[in-house]
Amino acid sequence: MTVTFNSRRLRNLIVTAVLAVALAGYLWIYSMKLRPATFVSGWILAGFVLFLTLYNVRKKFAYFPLIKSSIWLQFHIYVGLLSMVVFTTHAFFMYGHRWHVPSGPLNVILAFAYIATALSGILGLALTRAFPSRITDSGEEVIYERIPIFVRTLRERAAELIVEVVGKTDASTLPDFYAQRLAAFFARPRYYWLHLFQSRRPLLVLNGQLASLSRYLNDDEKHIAHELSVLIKKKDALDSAWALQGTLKGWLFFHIAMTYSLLAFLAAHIVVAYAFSGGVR
Amino acid sequence: MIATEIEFMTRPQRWDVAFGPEMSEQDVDRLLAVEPFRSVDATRFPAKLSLRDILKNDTRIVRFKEGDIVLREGDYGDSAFLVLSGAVRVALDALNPRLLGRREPKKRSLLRAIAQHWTNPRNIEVRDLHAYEIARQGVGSRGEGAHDTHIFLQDVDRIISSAATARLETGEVFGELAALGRTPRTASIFAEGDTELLEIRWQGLREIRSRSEAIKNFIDSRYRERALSNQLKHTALFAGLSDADLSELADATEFETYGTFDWNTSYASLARQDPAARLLQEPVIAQEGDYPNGLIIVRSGFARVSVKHGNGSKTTSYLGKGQVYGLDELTHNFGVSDPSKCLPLQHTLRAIGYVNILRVPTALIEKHVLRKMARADERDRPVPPKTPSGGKAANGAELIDAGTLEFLADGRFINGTRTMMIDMDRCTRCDDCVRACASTHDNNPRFIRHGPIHGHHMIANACMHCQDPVCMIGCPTGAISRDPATGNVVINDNTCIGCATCANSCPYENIRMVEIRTDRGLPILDQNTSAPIFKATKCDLCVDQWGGPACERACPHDALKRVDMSDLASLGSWLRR
Repeated sequence: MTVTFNSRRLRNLIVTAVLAVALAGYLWIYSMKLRPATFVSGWILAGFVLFLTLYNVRKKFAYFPLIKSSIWLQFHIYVGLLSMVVFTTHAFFMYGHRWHVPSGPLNVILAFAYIATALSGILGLALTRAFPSRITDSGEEVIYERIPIFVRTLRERAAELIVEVVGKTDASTLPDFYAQRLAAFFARPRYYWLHLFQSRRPLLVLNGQLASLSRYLNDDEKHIAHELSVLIKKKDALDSAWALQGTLKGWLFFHIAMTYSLLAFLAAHIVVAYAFSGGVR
Repeated sequence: MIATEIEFMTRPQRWDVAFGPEMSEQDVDRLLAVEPFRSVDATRFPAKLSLRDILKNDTRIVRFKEGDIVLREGDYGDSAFLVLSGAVRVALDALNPRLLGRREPKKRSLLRAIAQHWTNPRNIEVRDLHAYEIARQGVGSRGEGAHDTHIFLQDVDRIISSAATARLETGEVFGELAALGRTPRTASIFAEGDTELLEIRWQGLREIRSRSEAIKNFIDSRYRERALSNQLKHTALFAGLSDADLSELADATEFETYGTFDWNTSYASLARQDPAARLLQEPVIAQEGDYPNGLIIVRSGFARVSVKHGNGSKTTSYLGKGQVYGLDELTHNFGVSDPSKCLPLQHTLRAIGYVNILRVPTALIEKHVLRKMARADERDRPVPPKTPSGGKAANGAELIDAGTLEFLADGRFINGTRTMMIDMDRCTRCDDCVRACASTHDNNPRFIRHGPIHGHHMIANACMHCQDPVCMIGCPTGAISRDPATGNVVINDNTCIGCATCANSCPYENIRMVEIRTDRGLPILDQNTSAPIFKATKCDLCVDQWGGPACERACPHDALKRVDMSDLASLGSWLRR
């Protein structure tokens, strides 16, 4: 029997919460030995970060009989959450001391790198859970890399229709509308932000403007206007797919870039921490 | 105006393209003079479907040389053979796959698996010509084209002396059960010396069988003798029956075929029709409301189970090999003497594609199955619910909504044993699956993340490793075959001649013909014609890799699954995650 996503999520959250409490307890007990827990928490955190980075390595070895990527991702998510607990204690709180903020340029940059990586991870997780169903609902299932090809096909068809209408009538109503509004619309994927936030405005505005021209069109032009409105709808769906799929790919680039900078600063931080520890470990 | 645009043509007829265009009247005369055709009463054939026409259009004479392989064990075929002259040998033991021109089931070493990371070629569809030469050693091939290419065994004498074989001589028939039953060939057969065989395609064989009592009895008795008892023995319902009981069942069991053998050829046009029209073209095996006159066992193929719903029919399940229909009704009616209290069939059973069924008479089911299950208080047994016969609990169809069942049955995706299904509500379109596939296949993805969608589930364009692999019919070299260990359908690149028979046969368009190239990306050309060399490619479920299909293992979001469509319980629980 397949485990449902809800039960898996609940199970993993409970396990993570238990481990987080255990880790926090361990660090608290450790600090009671009158020795700073920062080195222990630091190494735990460094280990977590390294483990989290290994997921990207796993992805590159797809043919190797390693654990399934989906199981890795589950560990990646929940170890990531655990690392936030350790990071909080390591960077902002030392047992028996007050809350403090990291000081010194390297520590501040490192803290920001970690926070940016962690936040981008959380954002990515939210996006990967929210966007796929929106892409499915749009009804336009296209491969991201092929979107420009589809856009070009629509653009060429729209241009053909305008050439056709020029041959059928002397009126320039549709050609003017094309030049003023549609040429730019069909030129490339558009309205990234509006589509990201599920706005239907681009579609409604363009088709509304086209519909308002209807009173000035003869039957041939109306027929072509109808075809144009279908193309607008298709282009709008492509724009939506482009915005959503682009974001799903884009956040990962940011997340990975932040991870590598985090690793670099982490290495420097370890060297500096040991260099200036004064023998206290 | 309109009238002038109309054009006329001769309505396409069944025999516009004969099976063997070179068959002459003299050849037909010769055939009519030999058994078994000599004994067939030609007057029982209608004028438009005469025995003479059947022999002329549905048969062909094929000549083989010493060692030529006629059939390979595990292959699917649509024709039977009659030895006209010479003899053939049946290999009673399995022959080495390499000798048969098949891909050898071999995993990559761990080091080679790791080395792929930097040894994969940069260009697409790169082939090593030297490796082809090495692979061809030991495998003989002669002739050209899809029909005339034969793989031959190079040392027939040694094979005959070292392996158990049986000789079939002039007048003997073979391959008829697999051809009519759409089941895999059970043995490999090769020519012993120059041999002339009559190949009869299934359409002709079916016509002759239906009109000639002698041929029907011959085929039926062979089937009863060779396969039926064994098949009944492995049917769960008959577990524990004695050999005598099984023999009694086998003697009384009728076998019937429904639908079109080459259903794959009409798949695309059928898909364009509306559901009601499509349903009308599925032959009815048993009708809802009729009296249940026996238990139906699906021998091969698929059948749709549906109930009347409004003005149409709602699919409630589908049945595959080994599943039964009508048991609930027979159980209910057992011991009921008042006909008005008997329960008619609760569902309609229709053939999807080509279906072989066994019909076991009610009396024998009552005698051998129901009597044993009978209880003293069974008089008041309740009317069974409207569920697929054979036990819905075991079937798992109740976990799947009707729309999805209709989608799977209409698209014939139920044929898949490892169908790639993607949950589009989980899929982030990251293409990790495609990249993983490419990295395990020398940088060439073997599927396309695209395909028909129902709700939020996509059936991707990846080989489904079908139960009924129509792609395997007609491969001249046996390059496409089932991997004996896993049952996966795989292609041997070394013996594929690029004829595209498999690609054209696959109704799901999951086999792609590719131009092969050198490691510098240049096309490899035929040295005689300078035409590009093509090879058939498809998903092989990473048969030579460790860990199974890379696509499924690479999906971070549990969106992709290779689904066995006959396991409705697993499919249902996956859909409901």
